[in-house]
Amino acid sequence: MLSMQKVSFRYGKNTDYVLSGVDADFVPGKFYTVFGPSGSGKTTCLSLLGGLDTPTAGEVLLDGISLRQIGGEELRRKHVSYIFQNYMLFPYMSAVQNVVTAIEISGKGGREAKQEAEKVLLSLGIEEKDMYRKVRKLSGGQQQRVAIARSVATGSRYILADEPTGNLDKKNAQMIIDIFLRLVREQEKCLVVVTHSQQVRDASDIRYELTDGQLSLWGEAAEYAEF
Amino acid sequence: MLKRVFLNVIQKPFQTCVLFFMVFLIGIIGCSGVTLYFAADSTRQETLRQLGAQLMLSGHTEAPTIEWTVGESLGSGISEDTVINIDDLPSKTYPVTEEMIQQIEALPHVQGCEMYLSTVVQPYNCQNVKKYSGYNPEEQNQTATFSEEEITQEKGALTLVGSTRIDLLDEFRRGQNVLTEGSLPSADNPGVLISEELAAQNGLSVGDSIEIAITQPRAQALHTQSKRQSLPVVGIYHTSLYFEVLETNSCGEAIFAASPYNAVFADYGSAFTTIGYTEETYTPSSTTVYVNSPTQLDSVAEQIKAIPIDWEHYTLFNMTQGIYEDSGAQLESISTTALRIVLFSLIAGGILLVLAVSIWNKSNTYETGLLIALGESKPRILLSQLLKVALIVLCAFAAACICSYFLTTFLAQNLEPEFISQSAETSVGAFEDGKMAIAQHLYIQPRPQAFLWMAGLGLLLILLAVSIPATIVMRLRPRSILDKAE
Repeated sequence: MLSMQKVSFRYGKNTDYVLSGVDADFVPGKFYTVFGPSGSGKTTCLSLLGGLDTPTAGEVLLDGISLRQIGGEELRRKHVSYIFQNYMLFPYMSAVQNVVTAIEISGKGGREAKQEAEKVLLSLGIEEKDMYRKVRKLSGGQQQRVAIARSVATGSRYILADEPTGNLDKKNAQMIIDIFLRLVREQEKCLVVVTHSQQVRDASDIRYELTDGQLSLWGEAAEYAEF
Repeated sequence: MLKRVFLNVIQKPFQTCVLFFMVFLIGIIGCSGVTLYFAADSTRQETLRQLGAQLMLSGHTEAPTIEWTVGESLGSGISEDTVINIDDLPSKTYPVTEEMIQQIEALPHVQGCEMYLSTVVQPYNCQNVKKYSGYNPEEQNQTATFSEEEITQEKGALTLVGSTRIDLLDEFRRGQNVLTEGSLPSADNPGVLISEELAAQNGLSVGDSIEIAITQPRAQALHTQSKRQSLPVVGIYHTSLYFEVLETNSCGEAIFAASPYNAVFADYGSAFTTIGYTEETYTPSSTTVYVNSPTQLDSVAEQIKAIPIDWEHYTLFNMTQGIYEDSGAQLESISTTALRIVLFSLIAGGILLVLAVSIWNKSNTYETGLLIALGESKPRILLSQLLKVALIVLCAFAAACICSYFLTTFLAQNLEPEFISQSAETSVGAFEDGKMAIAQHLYIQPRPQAFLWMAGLGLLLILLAVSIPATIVMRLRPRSILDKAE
């Protein structure tokens, strides 16, 4: 479980807190969305969960161990992976090479890495003819699927996605959502998605709203929590 | 990681080409400069070695003085008997003494003092070598003012060279003559050293003897007695000199005596005796002082001048200065220019390289952010960036090294003719009627050590150029890098 315990964060000593005493748990097998107005700190929240930022106060824990102890690099290499709105792929590589690179960084190199990359890409609807094309020549939807494949192939339990459908049309967005659901349901991944999209939000299991530095459950889950 | 590095390099053709071209350009200028510098420098060293550095200490010879009695007259009353032949009067010669030589030889940078005698001798139990290139002396007209007797005697002659330090003589010091058998003659090892050609032609080997005598006309000229000497062959040398007879040869067949194959080197004492000198009739009045470098000539000269010698009657000559200045000037200019090119290319190239790599590296912010997000460690990111640049730079540098060889060879070919003409004028050992060539040209040879040194310096610059911006980027919070990357 990935937990935020009384997490506060601000960018500088003389700046306001972006997050203030946030508590949240993210468990495998669940699809989480975090939404809120622009500048509310959604991406910051994701960065803290992925060890790209360190809390000013409080702790982020992975299975009860502080991320300070685990270390950001180790965390991202083995436990957490990112999906970005603008895909963040190596543009000069093919889809397979992009996925293989991530697998290699996670410490699983060799011939198996390529087979694994092909398998994952195929499962996410990337056809064989597209696998070895430079990713910049692929459509937005395809690129995002490659980015998802990259995060899945490393074997991370926690997938953090920042506006993954932001650049996609409704049809492609739905395709991504379906993939996310499959990952959560079939592979027991924990998916935390920061989004403005109603479509994504509606598909998620648990929704958090971030306002005024506070993360709060929203919708049915909130009602259930209150109950 | 290597695959990623390789892909990065080949998939960014514009950046790769710009960096490659810059390094290639800087490399080619630098490597050409280094090659040219070392070529000029090695040629300069070789020239200096060939020229040697010599001073000559020479005692004055004062002409005989005739004291006239007051009242005597040179008028018509003087009889035939009273006519004095001035040549018969003893001239006063100031000798170079053993003590002087010891003092000079004790000075720093002095290789040794050498005393030299040379004359044409007639062999009796062997024949001289008639090996030549160019014009056949036997078919050439003899127009020199030799008497018939001289020509007859000197047709089959050898040149006897007596020296106290054969190893310091030009041919041996330059490596043109190399001892192949036996040993060099010296006071402790009296005898002669003959060429392989002379030995082979006459079936001579170490332990045999050659019988020679100074030719009669020369004995007369030197006021000595021609007397046959049997001298043991103590050594045999190989000569890389060749004997070219020119159209202008005026000695006819007698020119063979000047051939390097017919040079017979003897210890000073054996030559002294062969010529027919005695201590009473001949006083050595000069010695050549061999200094280890022309640049030390002035300081050695000053030190010799400080020795308590009666300088009113002795003179110290600089035998090398003029030749050195003539021959060395162009070489100095080439090596100075080349050194300037090297320094310029290193400084300007270094700055350009650092800038280029920094800009090139800054464009990697996106990739740095992405790799951090994927969990790659910072040292590995830095290493991959270094490898990327190193791959391009090493390829460009290797190409520059190869091209610089051709460029410098071309430059050298254009510089050589003038240089050779200068060295020919100053070449030591040219004969009036034949010549011995001293091979001298700008020898272009790539210097792996210098290239490695340059490559090392280049890599150091690259290391700095990659590390500084990369370190700055990586000191940022990972989130900031990703923000910049986005």
